Amino acid sequence: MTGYVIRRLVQSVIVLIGVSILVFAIVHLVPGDPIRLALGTRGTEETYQAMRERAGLDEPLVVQYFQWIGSALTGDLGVSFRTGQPVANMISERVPATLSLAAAAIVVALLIAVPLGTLSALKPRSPVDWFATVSSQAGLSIPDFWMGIMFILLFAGTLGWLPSGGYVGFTEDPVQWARHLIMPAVTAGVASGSIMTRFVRSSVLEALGQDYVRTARAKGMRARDVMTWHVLRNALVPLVTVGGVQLAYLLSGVVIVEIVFAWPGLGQMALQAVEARDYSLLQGTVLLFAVIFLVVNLVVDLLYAKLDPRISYEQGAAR
Amino acid sequence: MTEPVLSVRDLNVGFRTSRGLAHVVNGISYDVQPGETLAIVGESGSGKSVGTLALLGLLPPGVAKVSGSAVFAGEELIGRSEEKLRPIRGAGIGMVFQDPMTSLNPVLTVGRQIVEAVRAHGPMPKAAARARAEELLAEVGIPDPRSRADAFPHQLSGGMRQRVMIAIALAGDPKVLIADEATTALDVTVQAQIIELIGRLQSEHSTGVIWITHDLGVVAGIADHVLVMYAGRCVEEGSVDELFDRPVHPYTRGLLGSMPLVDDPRPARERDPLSTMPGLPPDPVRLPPGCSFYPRCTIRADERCRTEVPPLVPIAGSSDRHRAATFYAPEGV
Ligand SMILES: Nc1ncnc2c1ncn2[C@@H]1O[C@H](COP(=O)(O)OP(=O)(O)OP(=O)(O)O)[C@@H](O)[C@H]1O
Ligand SMILES: [Mg+2]
Repeated sequence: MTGYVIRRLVQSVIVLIGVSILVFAIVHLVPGDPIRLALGTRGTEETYQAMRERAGLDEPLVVQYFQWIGSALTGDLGVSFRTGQPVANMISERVPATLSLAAAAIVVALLIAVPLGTLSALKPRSPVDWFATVSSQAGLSIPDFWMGIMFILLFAGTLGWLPSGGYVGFTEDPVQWARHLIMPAVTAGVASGSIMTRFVRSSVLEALGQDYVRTARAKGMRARDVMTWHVLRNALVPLVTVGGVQLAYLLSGVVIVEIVFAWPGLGQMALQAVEARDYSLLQGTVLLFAVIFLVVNLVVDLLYAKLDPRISYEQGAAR
Repeated sequence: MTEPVLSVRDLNVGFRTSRGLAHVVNGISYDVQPGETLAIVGESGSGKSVGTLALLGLLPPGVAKVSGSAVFAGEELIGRSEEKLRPIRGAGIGMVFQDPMTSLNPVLTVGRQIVEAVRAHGPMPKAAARARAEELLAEVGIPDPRSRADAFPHQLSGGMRQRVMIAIALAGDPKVLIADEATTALDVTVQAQIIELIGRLQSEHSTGVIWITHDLGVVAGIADHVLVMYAGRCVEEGSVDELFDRPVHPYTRGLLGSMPLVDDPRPARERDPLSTMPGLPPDPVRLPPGCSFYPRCTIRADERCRTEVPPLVPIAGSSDRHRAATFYAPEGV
C-alpha cells in the first residue's frame, strides 16, 4: 500500500515536470508581448527595457524555465506583470471561491445523478427513465451561460430570492456565502450531473443483472438492503472514476459560470491572464490545474482500490 | 405418506424474446416430502434452473411469464408479491446457485455475505451473527473459518466459494434446499463431503432437498425420487430404483444406457451422458406440436408422436409414482 502510494507519487512528479515544461513552452511561444500589453501606450523605451529585465525576459528560455521552476518549488510563482502582485497570493486568494463552487457543484451533480440514474435503471423504458434521458440530454445541450442568465432573471430578478452574483467568504458570513453559491453551483452542477446520470443508469443497470444480486434476493434480504449493498455499492465503483474527472474539471475553473455570476474563481483569473499575456500568472494557474488533476487522479485510484478489493495495489493501477 | 412441504403443479415459464415467447418450462409437477431428496436431471437448457428460480420469484420481471401453482407450507408462491416472498426466501426455501464465481458479490467479504443471510429474517446482534457465520463456514468444511470469513470471493478457490454458497443457503434453516449443480465445481472427495453434509443436515432437520444435477452417479447415490426433464417437460419420474431398474421413456433409457460406472474417475462434466446423445433439443420458441423428443427418438417415431404430446401417465406394473410421457412404453418393463 505504502509502496503503491510512493510509486504513484513519483509518477505524478514526473508528469508534473513534463507538464511544467509544456506550460512554459506554450506560454512563451504564444505571440504577443506581455510588457507592451501591460504598459499600454504609456511608458518610454527605457521603462520597457527595465521591465523586461526585471521580469527576466532577456535571459534564454532554458534559463528562464529553471528560474521559474526553481522558485516555484519554494512557493514563489513570480510576480504578475499586470498587477505587480505575487502570483502565489493572487492564486490563494481565489482558491476558497473555486473550492466552494466545485464542492457545491459536485454535490448538486450527485444529487441529480444518483437518484435519477438509479430510478431510471430500476424502471427502464418507464416515464421516469424517459424523463431522465430527456433531462440529461437537455442538461448537456443547454449552454451554461444561458442557463445562468435565466436563473439570474428568475431568482434574482423576478423573484428576488437570491443575489445575482458575487462571492462572500464563508468566514465572513456563512449565510450570504450559501446564498451566493446556490445559483452558480446549480448551473455548474447540471452539466456534470447530466453526464453522471447516464453513467449511474448504465452501471446500476449492469449491477442489477448480476448473479450476486439474485443471490442477495434469494437470502430474503429486504429490497432496500439488496439495493444499497449489492446494487449501488457495486455501481459506485465505476462512478468514482467519472466523479473524479468531473470534480477535477470543476476545480480547474468553470470559466463561463464564473463570468456570468461574477464569481472570483481561478477560471476567470486564468482567462484574464491569457488576455493580458500575464506569463507568470498564467503559468502559475495552469501548473496548479495540473497539480489538481494529478491529485484528484491519485485519490480516485486509491479510492477505487479501496472500493474494489479485486484491484491490488501490487499490480499498480490496473486500469 | 406425510404432507409434502413443497407441491408444484403445472408450472410453466415462458420468456419474452424478440422471436416470440420461449416456452422453457412446460407443465412441470412434483412434490417434495420433508427429509426426501428429489433429483431433477436433464441436459443443459432443459429448464431445470429456470423452473426452480420461478418458485422464489427470482426470474427477471417483465421478461419471464410464470403460471401454475407452487404451494410451500400451505402458501401459494406463484404470483406472490416480492415483499410476501421475502420471508420464504432463505428461511423457507434456501438456494445454492449454479455458478459460485458470479453468484457471490466480489466487493464484500464472504463473512459479510453469510451474515446478511443470517440476519435477513429477524434482528440479531452483529457479533452473534458473525459467530453464526463462522459456525456455518466450519459446518461446510472450511478450515480456519475465523480468518476465511474476512476473505473476498476472489481470494478463495472454486470449491471454497461453492461451500460459501452452501453456507449462505443453510443460514436461514430452510425447510427446502434447492441445490443447483451444488457439487459440480468440486473434486470427488469434496463432493462426497458436501453430499454427506447435506445428507446429515437433511436428516437432522428433515429438510426436503431438490438436487439438480447432470451427474447420474450422484442421483443414484442420494435421490429418493427422480424427475427427468426434456425441453421443459417432465418425460419420466419415479423412485430412484424404478427409474434406474426399469426406465421407460426412450430419453431416460438413452441416458441410462450411456450411464458410466459410478466410480468413473473423470469429472462429471466430461462424462455427461445427457449431452452426448446425438441430436439437439427443440427450439423453445417453436416447440413441435407433438413429443419434443420425437426428432431424436431412436425407438419408435410415428405420426402420433409427431402430432400429439404424450401425457405423463403411470406405468403398468410399477408404483403410481412411476410415470412416463411416451406412447410406446416397452412391454413388460
Ligand atoms: N432471461 C432469460 N431470457 C430468455 N431465455 C432465458 C433466460 N434465462 C434462461 N433462458 C433460457 O431458458 C432455458 C433453460 O435454462 P436453464 O438455465 O433452466 O437450463 P438448465 O436446465 O438449468 O441448464 P444447465 O444444465 O446448463 O444449467 C435456456 O434455453 C435458456 O436460454
Ligand atoms: Mg442450470
